[in-house]
Amino acid sequence: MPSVKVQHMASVQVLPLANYANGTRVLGPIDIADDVTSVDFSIARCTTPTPTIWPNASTTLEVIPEVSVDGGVTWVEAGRFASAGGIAQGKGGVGEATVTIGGGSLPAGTNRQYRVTTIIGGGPLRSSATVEVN
Amino acid sequence: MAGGIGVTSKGRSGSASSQATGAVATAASGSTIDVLIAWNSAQTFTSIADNKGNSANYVQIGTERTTAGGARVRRYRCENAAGGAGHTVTATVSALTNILVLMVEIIGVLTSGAADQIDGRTDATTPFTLAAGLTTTQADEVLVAALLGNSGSNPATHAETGLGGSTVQAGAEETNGSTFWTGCMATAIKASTGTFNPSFTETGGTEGDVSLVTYKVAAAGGSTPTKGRLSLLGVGV
Repeated sequence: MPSVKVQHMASVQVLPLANYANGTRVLGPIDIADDVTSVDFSIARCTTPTPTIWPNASTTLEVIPEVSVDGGVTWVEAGRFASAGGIAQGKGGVGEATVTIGGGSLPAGTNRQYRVTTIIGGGPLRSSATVEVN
Repeated sequence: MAGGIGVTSKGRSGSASSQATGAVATAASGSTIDVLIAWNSAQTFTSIADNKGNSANYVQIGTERTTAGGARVRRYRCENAAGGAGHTVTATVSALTNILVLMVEIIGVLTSGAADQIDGRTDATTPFTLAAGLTTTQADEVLVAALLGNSGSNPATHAETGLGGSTVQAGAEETNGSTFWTGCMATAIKASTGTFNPSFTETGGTEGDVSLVTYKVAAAGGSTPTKGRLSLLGVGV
């Protein structure tokens, strides 16, 4: 993980393409710049051109993003979500979704840190993931 | 005490089956939680819940609507909600979808029977409005209007001009239309009765689902949040 603040409009790889076993992982923390307004966890999905990526609907993923404004002493949830594998539709049912991506409101403050806990079930889950900072 | 807006929050995702808002510190008791939920129309709604014990107390406002742009929209309220630090609201649907959840906390309103006027519709002509304005029956009310848009712009910009001096709540707004459903909640505090029709614009949007709920402010000496919240509002106890 980078030790400098991640700036607006940056993408940080947090999981390289690999097979990830069942269980809980904590990714981060990363330091985010004070003017950052959103941070999203993004993980590649199964599509027709990429059938080996996260192919099974029985492979589940829970994502719990958190932000700290006190140097990691306490953490506030920032938009947890849950997903599963297989091919999924995009926004409005248009096309195939190439990633599952999400998050939520960030607490205000300076010198914020971001981390994300992932919980895999029914795996292994084959994919790669990034954190999108905006 | 005067009615007003407490905290706001949002959560959104692409290709998820459940989505929670970011955690915020709501009043320990007495406030109303107003929630807008939108998701892809191929999926059906499963549930709304929160982590403060209010799950069974969320009441749907109006009916579910389906937009021509491929979204379903619902709105909920929870009166006299139990709250506190780390409060999240979670929406769950039947299968993987794009989900948007926007939340506004309304303070100083009645803890029972707060909702006065309610309406909603999907409008395909900008600015996006209701078919007709709603006339409030009490002078002191908090107006909460919501927009679910269909912009593909990033950022999409929202404005509301029909309520008279409203505030688009930045904490309950999504502007990234290239990835998520877009939308916002706009609020206005009123001290006299009137007829109000929200009028929203969204850059890059061609359709908007609009809804308005007006909430009655509690009379002086009526329902109030906890002492800590009163201190923040500068009201002595």
